[in-house]
This record gives sequence, C-alpha cells and structure tokens, in this order.
Amino acid sequence: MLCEFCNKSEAVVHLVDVSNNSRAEKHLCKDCAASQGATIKSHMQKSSSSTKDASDVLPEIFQNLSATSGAAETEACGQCGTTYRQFRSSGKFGCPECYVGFNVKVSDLLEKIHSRCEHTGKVPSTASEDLAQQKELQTQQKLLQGLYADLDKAVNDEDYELAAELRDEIQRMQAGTAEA
Amino acid sequence: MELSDLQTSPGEWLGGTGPEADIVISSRIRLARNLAGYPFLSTANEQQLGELERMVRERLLNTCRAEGMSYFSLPSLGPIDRQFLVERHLISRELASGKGARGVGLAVDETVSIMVNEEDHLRIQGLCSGLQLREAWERVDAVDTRLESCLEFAFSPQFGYLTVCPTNAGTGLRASVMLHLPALVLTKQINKVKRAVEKISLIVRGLYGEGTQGFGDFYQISNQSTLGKSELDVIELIENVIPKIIGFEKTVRTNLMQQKREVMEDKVWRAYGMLKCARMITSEETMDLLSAVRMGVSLGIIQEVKMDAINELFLFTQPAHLQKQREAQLDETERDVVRASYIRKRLQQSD
Repeated sequence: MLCEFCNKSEAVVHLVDVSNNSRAEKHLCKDCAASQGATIKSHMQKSSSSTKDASDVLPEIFQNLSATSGAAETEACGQCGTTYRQFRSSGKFGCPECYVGFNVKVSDLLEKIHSRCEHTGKVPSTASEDLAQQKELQTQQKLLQGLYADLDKAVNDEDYELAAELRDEIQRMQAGTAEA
Repeated sequence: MELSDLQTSPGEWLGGTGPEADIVISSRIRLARNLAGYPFLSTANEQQLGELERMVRERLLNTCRAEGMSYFSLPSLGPIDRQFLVERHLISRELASGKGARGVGLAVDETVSIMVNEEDHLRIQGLCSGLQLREAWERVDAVDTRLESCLEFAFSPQFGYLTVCPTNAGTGLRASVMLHLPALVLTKQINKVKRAVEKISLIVRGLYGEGTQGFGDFYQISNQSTLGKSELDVIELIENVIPKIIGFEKTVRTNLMQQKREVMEDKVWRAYGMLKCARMITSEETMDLLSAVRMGVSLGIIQEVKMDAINELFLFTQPAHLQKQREAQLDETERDVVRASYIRKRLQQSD
C-alpha cells in the first residue's frame, strides 16, 4: 500500500482515529508520518489524560464538538441571550432554556462528559405527577386505538351486538378523558 | 443560632464517631439545584440575585424548621467569619469570595448546609462523620424533597436537574468521602490509588476540593459523572471502592510496623514532641505533624491522646478558628505564636 500523503513510498504507519462513533484510517510512509509527528503526539496526550477534573475536560470536548456540529459561534439562546461562544469560553449555561436553545446538540455534549445522556434518578414530585399523567394519557390513547380497530373488525364481521358494546365503551372512555 | 455558637464544638461530622472513623473522616453529599423560570447566576442581574436570595431564604427557613435552620447572608459576614465557615466545610471558597446577594442556611448540628447563589441557585450539602454516605444522602434527599414543595426546580425528563455547568446536570449529585491516608503517602503509593480510582471514573482531590493538594495526607474521593446513573448507584460505586482503599492503607501500616517499627515510632513521637514544644508553628507544619500523630494514635504508638482531640486540633488550629477564639484579627506571625500555644495547652490537657 502506498502512502496516502505523498503517494510515493510504501505506507508503514497505520493510524486509526475513532471519534464521534466514526472511524478514520490513515496510512503513511515513514517520512510523512514523521512530518506529521505532532499530530500523533497530540492524539496520545489526549488519550492518556482521559480522567481529569471535569472543568479541565470541557475545553477539549468543546473543541471536538464545534468541529463536528458546525454550530454558529454567534448563535444565542432565545431566552437569556447567552451566545454559543460565551458558553464555550465559560463552560456555563445562561439559563435552563440554554439546554435546548443552541443548535449544537446538548445531548452529544452531555454524552461526551458523562458517557450517557439520559437522566436516571430522582425526579421532582411535581414533574413526576406530570410524567405520570402523560403516561396515563398515552396508555389511554393506545387502548382507544385498539378499541377502534376491534370496532372496525366487528362491523366488517357484521357482529353488530359486539360493535354496539365497543361503541359504548369508546364513548365512556372519551367522556372520561374529557373530564380529566 | 449565632456563628460564635459553632466555634466551641467541632461539629458532628468531625466527631470521629462514624464507621471506619480512624481512616474515613467524613462523608458528604451535595445536590445542585436551580429554580425554573429564573436565569442562572451566570446571567442574572443584581436585582434578580437579590430577589432570588430573599425568596429562597424565606422558603428555606419556613420548610426546614425541623433542622433548626439558621440563615447567614454572606455580605453581612466579615472575612474571618467567612473563612471560618470554609474551614468547617460548610461553604465553598467560591461562595466565601463571591460577589452579590448570597448566603448559607445551616442546620443546628451542621449536618446540612444550603448555599444560596453559589454557582447554582442552591447547593444542598449533607455531611456525616465516618463512612456514612447513605445517611448523608437521606438527610439531603429529605431537605430537597421538602424544598421541592415550595420551589420549582429546573428539570428536564431527559437531562434531569438542569445546572449552570453541564458537568453537574442529571442528578446534580456529588458524593465524596474524605480519607486520611498517611501510610500510602509515606510509601509513595498514593498515585496507585489515584490511577485505580480514576479508572472507574472517580476523582481524587485534596482537603478543600478542586485544585487543592493532599494537605495533612487527606484525600477526597468523589464521582465525576452525574448523568445516567441514579443517586444510589453513584453512592454504591464509591461505597464499594472505599473499603479497598482502607484495606490498602491498613496493610501498608501493618507492614511498616513490622519492617520499620523504630522508624515509624520515631516519626510519630518526634511529631508529637514538636507539637508539644513548639513556640511558633505554621498551619501547614501543624497539618503534617498532626497527620503523623493521628496515625500514631490509630496504631496505638501513642495512647495518651484521644483521636477526637487530634481531630479537633486539625480544625481549631486553622487561621479563622484561631482568630475567632482570640476574638481578634491576627497577622501570620501572631497566628503562628497563638497556634503553637493553643496546641501545647490542648496536648497538656490530654496528658
């Protein structure tokens, strides 16, 4: 295999860069690899310092993130006006809305910091009531869809007795949801 | 409660009563919370800061009557009082040196403290003696749940509690255990512990948190990530690793006692002698010597001093504590004299 850089000498150095779930390979000859030595060195430094204080890690993450997301530096949160550049340099959000305010995917950023991006753990009681209500609504809707499907089937089968029962059931359920 | 009421006692967490207290000094849990509908402190103006502080203070005092909560506004405290609270681990250095409306709510036994307008709107902290992370969590969780009934916290089902810095988002929980590891420092094996602990995504820090070195051979082990693991999962992760570090420290102590008994005894007794005789002593030297004496007490080399007396000395010889005892502002040299005299007196008492 020839060197990708000079296309002349045999490639003897094979670099594999895995970042952002993608894999990039580079095949270089000895001389070209040496001339790109700085790059190789900096990669090694990055991997050897994987666990530092969170505040030290942030600038590095931001650098990687903005290179891939193309987020505009001047883009600002609609609620508090904090720009992405300000967030990048301070590592601090301006308000709770910033979590959804920037074009850059906050979930990607959080995943880089914490290795995960879905909260598990305590939920405020007020929020948990909302969540429970939402879930209940969703299950009711699923039930209703099922009943409608059964009703269609009953009508097709000309089972009008069952169809009438299902219709009443649907009406009762809809009345219940409307009240709630 | 007045701040001066605190100075005569070391606080429950330094009582040396908790499990594994000869090596584990304290267990701490802190939660970061912000109010929904308000800007974070990074963008809030002076008026909003004041409004936030007033509202939180009022609700705090109303809901935490059971803890005997007192509230102290930081701008109304002098520099010695602020430093006094930092030395007791009740507020952070950031809150002490910050600007604008901010304060701290303190439970009467000092096991719960709530910083208002630190980096986040609220930082709720629970502090227990020895290895008792779960107890600290239960206290903090109870206060958090009660506060939740009168304050709406910024929360997203996906990202959890929303915090100023994305490194705290999710549970907003930092759990840390403070360890006294003189034998591992002495045998230069502390870096082994650091590396092993970092492999499971925990961090090792010094006595006063981020950026401080291991003064007096004290190290804090805490979690780094706050998102995607429940509070109890994080606590369990730390609870599982601490006994291994305790075991390592104990093994090294035993080996040292078997192989270098005279060297160990000499180190401990010399440190004790210095403390009992010195006429001037700096805070750093005090910490180093107390650390050796503490290990000596734990190994039974010195029996005439009790562990709790040594624990108290670590706290009461800090600059702000000395100045509060003397009720005077002292410069560095004056402090060194007062410190040495205080230590001599305390060690004579325990003879």
